[in-house]
Amino acid sequence: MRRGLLALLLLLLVLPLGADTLDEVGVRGVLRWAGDASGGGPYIFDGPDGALTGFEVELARELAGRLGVKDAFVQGQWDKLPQLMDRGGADIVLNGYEWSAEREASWPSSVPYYVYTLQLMARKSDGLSSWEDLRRPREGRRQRVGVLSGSAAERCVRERLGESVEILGYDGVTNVLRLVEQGQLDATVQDLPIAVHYGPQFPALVRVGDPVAPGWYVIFTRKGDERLKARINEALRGMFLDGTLRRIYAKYGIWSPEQESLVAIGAHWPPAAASAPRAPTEPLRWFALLAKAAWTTLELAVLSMPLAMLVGLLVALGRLYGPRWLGIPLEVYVEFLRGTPLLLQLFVIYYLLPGIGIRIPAFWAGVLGLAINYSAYEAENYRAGLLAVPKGQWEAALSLGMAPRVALWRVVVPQALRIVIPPVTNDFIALFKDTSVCSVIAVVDLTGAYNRLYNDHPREVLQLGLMAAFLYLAMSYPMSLLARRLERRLGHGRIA
Amino acid sequence: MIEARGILKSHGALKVLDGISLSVAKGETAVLLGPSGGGKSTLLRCLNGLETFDAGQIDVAGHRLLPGRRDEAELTALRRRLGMVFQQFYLFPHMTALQNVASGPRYALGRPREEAEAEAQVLLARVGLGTRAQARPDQLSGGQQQRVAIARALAMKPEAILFDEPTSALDPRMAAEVTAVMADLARAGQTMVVVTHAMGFARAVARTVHVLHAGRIAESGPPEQVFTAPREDVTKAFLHEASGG
Ligand SMILES: Nc1ncnc2c1ncn2[C@@H]1O[C@H](COP(=O)(O)OP(=O)(O)OP(=O)(O)O)[C@@H](O)[C@H]1O
Ligand SMILES: [Mg+2]
Repeated sequence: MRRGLLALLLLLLVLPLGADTLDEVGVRGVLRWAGDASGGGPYIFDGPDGALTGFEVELARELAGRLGVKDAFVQGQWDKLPQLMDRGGADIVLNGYEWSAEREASWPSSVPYYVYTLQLMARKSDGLSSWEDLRRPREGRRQRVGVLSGSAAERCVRERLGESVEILGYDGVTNVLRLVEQGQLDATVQDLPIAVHYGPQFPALVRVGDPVAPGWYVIFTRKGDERLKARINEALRGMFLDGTLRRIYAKYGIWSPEQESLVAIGAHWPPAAASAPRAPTEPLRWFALLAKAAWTTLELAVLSMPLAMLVGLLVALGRLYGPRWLGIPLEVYVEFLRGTPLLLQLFVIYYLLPGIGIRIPAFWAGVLGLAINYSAYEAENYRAGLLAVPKGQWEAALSLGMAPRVALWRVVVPQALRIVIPPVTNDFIALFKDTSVCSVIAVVDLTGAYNRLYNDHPREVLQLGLMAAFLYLAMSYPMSLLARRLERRLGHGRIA
Repeated sequence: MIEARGILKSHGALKVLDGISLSVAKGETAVLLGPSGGGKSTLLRCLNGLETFDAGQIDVAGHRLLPGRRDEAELTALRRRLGMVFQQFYLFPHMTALQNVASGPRYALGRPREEAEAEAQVLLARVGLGTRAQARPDQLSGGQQQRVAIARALAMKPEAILFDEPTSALDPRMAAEVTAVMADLARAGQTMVVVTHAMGFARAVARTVHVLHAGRIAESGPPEQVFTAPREDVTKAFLHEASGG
């Protein structure tokens, strides 16, 4: 006990100088490795007995053992794992991360532990025979290819097929395979281990052509953790030479002859930075990407809000003045939508509706989801607004001989619309931010585009952040000006 | 024109209207006065169906109102022939003065906009607001707003108009503008039932004054008689109060 404390004290003294996570790991007796279990098999997934399993789970356990410590899994969102590590939430990142020169510059990599290749998959019934077949338009539109967003597969598809296909980025794997099966996507490109693992579960899909574009899975460490990295490299080499790696990979059906090349490659690691110096026009390209995504944000918001307002108004009118039997269904509508997350609603619209034959393109599913979700909030706004119109206004209108329905439309509703301008404007601005939820259905809004660029170019965080902030401001500032003008012009009617 | 018989209305144990009978002839101006809570507003609101009553019957502008549930369509038809002016004006804030005046013919009767607004312009001129047609209610003084409200009621060419304390929310100068307009109407033969504490107006214009107290009509008669030689103690007490004594 006393000795442990002493070691900790010593460590604290030493930390500022030769700080290396290896020392911390030693004191703690635990190696914390970050991964995303929702990424699925064969990497990290829930086994039949509920325990975490997968070739990376076994790899991590073996690795920790060779460092003389225990391993602890830290769950994170896949494309944010390095950030999780940088914040100190984990010691290493170990989860199917491909090596790239960009990443190497921010997070020094271990020697590679697996050579992956990319596999094109499509529906058996479509008879696709090669990558080139994807260039053929289908039903008058570009073919849709789903990929894990920010992955090497995404870059590979972009390089090979460019604008001749529509590339959609998702967060998971099984949902993409299901989308191909259901016909919302035409094909997907996945790392070979995934094709091997999930192939049997999606019998309607086939592998098309040979695997392509080999690359390396590596473990990422924090900058400065040179000693930790060296120990990991040593352990990996040992695992390779004594056949441990081969045994693990074979167990999951992902051993291949290419893996034999790992030792030779590891001897000269990392590869000389092949990445060309950044073209001076690169920031312009980023800005163009962000601006395009900002346009998508604007479209989503501008198309969904009027719909939400219209439905909301009708729901509020139905609840307050409609027939009695309508009251309960409408209340359930409002409470259900307010009580469940937008994310879930989008998921249902996009992933589950196709199961009953309703197929909506991602963008329109986004518009619909936002509109339906916000209609519940607008219904409550309008309800409050309608109730806030003084009773005397009703009586004056009725006393002129207007039928109740006419009094409602000509006198009460117009005033309620004015009363709710401030809360509705607030909701509109909130909706601008909520469009980012649409990334689960591969609609890339400004936040989504920023995230992707940031993942590819982590060192440009300041520049990218400023660009995104500027674009948000460019959208929201004119909006609040407009809202203020609207309020001033229509606000007359506040005192009845 | 208006014939109410034996109107009873209670809120719980409180008898708000306790067997009121009232008759107003065509072209007549009747003034209702009496202490606060006497049931004046309630009576007016029963006359145009904004409130129901428990017993009695009302014949008004060719319609008969009875206790209990009403047919909305019939009430709407009745209200097209019976105007109402409120203490708080209740102009429609999202419409100009002209649109307010034209709103009845346009929305209740479905008349074309040009036609309705042309007539509305004439009515605004008649209440002395010909130049303020495009003003919004919140750009008008209280007296002007009440005159627009009167023009709005007139636009339906009603057989009778009910006024519920039309000048109580106004200062004396603005009240005088409104009273002058109402006096003109009375002289032109408009049937009116007016709840007011403006004695001068009652004296000059009313043919009959009714004093309401505790849901009953305590005394009725021509203004000279009621004001100078009240028969009932209730009337005397009320006049004493009202004259600031
Ligand atoms: N909805 C209601 N519930 C209970 N009591 C009511 C209701 N409406 C009116 N009253 C009561 O009925 C009585 C008559 O009210 P009413 O407004 O007709 O009087 P009023 O003669 O117009 O008085 P004022 O000069 O103050 O306007 C009052 O005692 C009032 O409190
Ligand atoms: Mg009253």
